[in-house]
Amino acid sequence: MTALVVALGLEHTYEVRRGLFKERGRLRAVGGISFALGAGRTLAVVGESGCGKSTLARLITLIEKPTAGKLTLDGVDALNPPGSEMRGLRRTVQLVSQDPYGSLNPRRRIGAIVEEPLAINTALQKRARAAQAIEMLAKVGLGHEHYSRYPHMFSGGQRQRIAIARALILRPKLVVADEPVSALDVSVQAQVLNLFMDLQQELGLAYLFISHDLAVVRHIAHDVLVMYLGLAMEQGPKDKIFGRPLHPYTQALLASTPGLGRRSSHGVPRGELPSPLDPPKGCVFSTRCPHVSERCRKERPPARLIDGREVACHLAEQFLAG
Amino acid sequence: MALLEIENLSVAFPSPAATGRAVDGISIAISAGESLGVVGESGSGKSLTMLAAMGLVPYPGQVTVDRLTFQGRDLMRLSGRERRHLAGSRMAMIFQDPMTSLNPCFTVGFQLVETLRLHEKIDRRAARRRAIALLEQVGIPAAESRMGAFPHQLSGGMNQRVMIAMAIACQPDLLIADEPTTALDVTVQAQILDLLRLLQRDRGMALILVSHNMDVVAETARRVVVMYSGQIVEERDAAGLFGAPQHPYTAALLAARPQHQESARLATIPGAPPGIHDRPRGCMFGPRCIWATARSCATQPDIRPWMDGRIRCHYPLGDPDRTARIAADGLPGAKGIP
Repeated sequence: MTALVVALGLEHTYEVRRGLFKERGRLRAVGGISFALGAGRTLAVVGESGCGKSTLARLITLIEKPTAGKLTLDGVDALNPPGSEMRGLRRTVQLVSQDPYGSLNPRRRIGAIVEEPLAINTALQKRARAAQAIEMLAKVGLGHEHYSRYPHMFSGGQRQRIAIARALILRPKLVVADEPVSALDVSVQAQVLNLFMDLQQELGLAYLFISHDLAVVRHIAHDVLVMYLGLAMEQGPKDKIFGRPLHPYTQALLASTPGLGRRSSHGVPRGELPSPLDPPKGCVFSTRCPHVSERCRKERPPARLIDGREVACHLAEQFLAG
Repeated sequence: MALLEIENLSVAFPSPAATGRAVDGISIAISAGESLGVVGESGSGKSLTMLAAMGLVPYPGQVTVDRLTFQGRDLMRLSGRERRHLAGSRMAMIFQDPMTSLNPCFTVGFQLVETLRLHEKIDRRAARRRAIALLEQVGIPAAESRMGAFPHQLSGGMNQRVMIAMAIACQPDLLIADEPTTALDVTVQAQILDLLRLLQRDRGMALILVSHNMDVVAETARRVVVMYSGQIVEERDAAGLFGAPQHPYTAALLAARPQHQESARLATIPGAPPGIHDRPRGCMFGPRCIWATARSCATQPDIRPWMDGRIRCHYPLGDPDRTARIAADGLPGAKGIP
């Protein structure tokens, strides 16, 4: 059995104008990401802003075409779909975005918002669509009295539930969630995370869960992909990565997250993300890495399989040994 | 004597239908050199309390307070001019979003120099030197060349450092940091929190850290105030509060954090905080509280001394005979709940 989503060396490069007479810059937002994701599993993508995780979400949801690489969704080549399969493919992947205030049209009722994908993609009549929408609203914990209300009448957590209902109404197999809980308060965040997990069990969904919050990721993910400047630093099963991070960047992220323990000033990386227009020559993390050596500055480390996960660091064996 | 003393502060927003109180009878005192954390969810009134202390409540908010003193001076009786002079020099505030707090039309150097020259009688050159020293102090590399940078040319973390430099420019006695790291990445957040801790310790500056993130506060503050629906529900020593919370809301909020749970399902708090116009009659947290009784629904608990701090609850979790009292007071809905 093949996985639901297979990405091989996905790359995406934007061309950036730097000035009237200057040469155009090439910004490699995603620089060769590979992963496989099966039904009922959650792959979490973590990294700081600017690391390319949202671009990756746009590639997987077929909003943008990658400049290189291969992507297979549900056994179909998603970049060159045969004949009329593109529409069907789009139905298998749905997106839940970060801001529940910006993602719902304030002038339309909840019912219309949740039904719209059905109106576009199916031949269902109005009454059947309404029935499905109410059923889906019930699944995310909203009542049928909410059907004819407007978005402004809902709190942030409820709006995110509405966005989830809209994403699920076409019965997708993969849901790409781009920072779905980062705009929510802790108590509401826990409710929405539980909802994500319940729906996954009930419907066998696969999630590509994008987040900068390692505490949330540790809770919801099966596998983790740590990105930095468009490249995978470390990827593998959650227990391996949280139990014993082998990449200095993963270690730094863990050390910087309040409440995950092991907080000490020396684990916090210096400085900030370098410009993605001009990434460091060798290892992309070398400018901030506390363990940097001459070799790191010259030679970009390839991803290697060590202790059950893939790590792109010259020193990974040393971390494993001691 | 406390450095900043707030007694019974309320902030109301009048509207034709009803006047809602976003902040409802808050009393806080902070001594010189102390670090205080204020936590609460969005809408709990934590930022507004701080804005009221600074005299920055936006129109049409109405501030009423029994006593508001800073270093013994009654802030409510100062003229606008005197108060503006105090704010920015003796007490300073940094805000959540550094990108919108800085003026995009001027260089960061200009804005720093402006702050210094407004509050102190120094010439342009001396102010510039001080500004560069400040930028170095908050950890901005190549400070001299960054003086000429516009905010859009700097990253979020760098802009927040500039904001901090501006806030500490006149060596304030009190720094209020309102969600200073919420807009930043975790690695940069850790750097900024380290910087704030360092400044507080080395300068003997009092620090009020406002945040929705319990763990950020746990790392930084010695004493913590928990707010809910415009009221203080619990105030304790940080170690005590995080170790053994006394208010059911604090306990539920701590339990809902994903980093502290091993089980698959997260503990949640049912429902959502009440809005400003539909506050419950009894305890604000009553409708969401698993321990709520008929008494909680009927009468609002007063804030009272408890352990090493204060609490606003009929049945604090550490109360030995709370089970018996909850049983005696009966379930909600029997009477009192509409």
